[in-house]
Amino acid sequence: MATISWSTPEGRQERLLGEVTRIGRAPQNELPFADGAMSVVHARIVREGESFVIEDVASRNGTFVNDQRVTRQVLRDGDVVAIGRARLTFLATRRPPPLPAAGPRLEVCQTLLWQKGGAAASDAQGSSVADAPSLAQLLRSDKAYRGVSSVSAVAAVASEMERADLNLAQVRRRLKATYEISQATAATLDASELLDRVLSALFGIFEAADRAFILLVDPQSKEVTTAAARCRAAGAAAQGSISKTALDQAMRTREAILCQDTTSDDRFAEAVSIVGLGIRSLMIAPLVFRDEVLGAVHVDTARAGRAFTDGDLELLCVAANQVAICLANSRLHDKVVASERLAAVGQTLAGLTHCIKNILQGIKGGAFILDKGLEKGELERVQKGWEMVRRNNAFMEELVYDLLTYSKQRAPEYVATDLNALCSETCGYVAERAKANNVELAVKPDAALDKVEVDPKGIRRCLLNFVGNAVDACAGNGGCVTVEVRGPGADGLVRIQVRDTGCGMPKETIAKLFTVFFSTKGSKGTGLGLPVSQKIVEEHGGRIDVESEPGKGTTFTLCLPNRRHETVNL
Amino acid sequence: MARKKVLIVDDEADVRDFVQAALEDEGYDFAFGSTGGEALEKAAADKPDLIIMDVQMPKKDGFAALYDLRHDPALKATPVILLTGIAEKAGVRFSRETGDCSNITEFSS
Repeated sequence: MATISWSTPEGRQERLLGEVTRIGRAPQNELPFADGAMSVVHARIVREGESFVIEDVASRNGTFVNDQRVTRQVLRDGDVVAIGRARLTFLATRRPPPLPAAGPRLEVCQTLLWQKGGAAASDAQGSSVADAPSLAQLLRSDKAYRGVSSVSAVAAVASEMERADLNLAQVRRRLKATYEISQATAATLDASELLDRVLSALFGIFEAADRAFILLVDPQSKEVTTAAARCRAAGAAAQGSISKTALDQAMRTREAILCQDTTSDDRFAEAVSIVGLGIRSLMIAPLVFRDEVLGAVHVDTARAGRAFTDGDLELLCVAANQVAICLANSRLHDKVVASERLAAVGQTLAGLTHCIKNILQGIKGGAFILDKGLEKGELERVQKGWEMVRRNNAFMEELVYDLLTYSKQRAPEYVATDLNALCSETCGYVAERAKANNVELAVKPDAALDKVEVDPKGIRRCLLNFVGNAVDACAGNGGCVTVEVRGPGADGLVRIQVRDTGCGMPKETIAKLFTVFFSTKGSKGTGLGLPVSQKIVEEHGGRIDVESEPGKGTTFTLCLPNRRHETVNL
Repeated sequence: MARKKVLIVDDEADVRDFVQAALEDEGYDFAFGSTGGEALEKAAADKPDLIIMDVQMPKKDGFAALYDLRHDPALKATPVILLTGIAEKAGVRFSRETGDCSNITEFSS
């Protein structure tokens, strides 16, 4: 069993050698390096029985073993192979490198990482990091990669695991935090809630982080503002400035930035604020969705030294990508909601206009007849016209009352009420209309029923609507309308049933019954009666049941709780 | 010259009164109906020169009545004005197709 190992800024990396291990710049190699000094496939290590042989694959810059250029050589324990800028140490007999618990999954993620990173590795020529292409680089250059953020989050943690500097507890914590971010982005469409959850997850991932910010570009003004900020220290607000220079750069170039030490980094020479605040390390990842920069995630710390690693930056990029997708989604959702609201307002206005126009027409007609009566001195006609004006005025009042009831959230004004008496009284209002239409109207009270706490005005309004509709449904044919009161059943609901033997309704009509401004009565209905009734009944904690058969009749059942319903007043 | 007769059909008395008041100074005689069925009966009995009819009426509506009028050889030539609060394009199409009306004009209030 042989391995090859090499050093990286994050510590030593070690890899078990298989039958053939290709080394080079292309991601298809078993050992790919983002190293411009390497050829695409630079060299390979081939197993021959118990030995391992290094072969140069016609590389441009050559393969060296212990500083001697070779084309093919058997490796001995401790040999140092120089390929490009990488120095690989061959170890003939070693235990396999220790891996954290998720060994097999690591392999899968690793493969995925190299495959997905195809384009990136070749872009990364000249990079000073003699290492596999980092995920941060992959994310920057491979647009297709952006979509698979959950998978890539795990891959990023896995690649971090391979760097082997993390212990199992840390890895677990990171995976958990990464999962939390994906949960947060999947669970909420509310941008501010999302950002808060992401920030708290970021502290879980980056133990060194002191402050974290999410900055967003205003879609209209293009101004960058802090949308969410957090400080690790309990109670302390995340205040203070962040480097505008670094932020601008990250957003302009759409590339993530890692600064290990702000005091020695030329990029922050002018950014006095950062040094003044005692910020030593920082990471910035831009929030990019499609071609638009939505903002950036900024994490910093006062801790000196290597507080953040390349691996951390990779993770931050993954988180940023998920946040960007989610933000874009949330903005889209807001747009849809706004346009739906506009459409609803439009529909409501159209319905309302229709109603008001009908009423005005009635008033105008009444006034016209009244004028004619005055002109000709016919008192009967004056009376008729005046009656029309008054009736339409009452309609208008009713419409306004219905609109108010419908639009305002309110709790019922409870009074212990005799529902039998309320039903009889309501039928009294409609009796004349029923008689004129040759409709029989009957009330079947429940003598055993005690008073029930309801809002009598509201329930009267509902009953008037139901009984009025029932009479209209029978009009022309004759027929009968029965209002029956039934005391509380096993479910504790008191029922008032309004049955008619009228025209009935098809299923399509029933489906639209409670839609505002839907009416089958043309100019004679406002389309508000049933929606308003439904609202009143729901405010009581009750419901309305409807049964109907075309040609046979309709039954509306008003189901009300026996007891006062505690409503949440909004 | 004999006075012309107008048949006004609407289920709402208010509208019947209004239409009558609007036309009475022109020197017409009036007949009234409140359903599509009555429209056909009165049309056959009174032979009006013009029918002014609401579209939305219970039982037989204005469209159905118009269809029957247009398929009655004795009444098919009687001009009809349909009244409707809603600009029902579908209704106009309906009456064009089934009512054998080659001459429909839309007005709006």
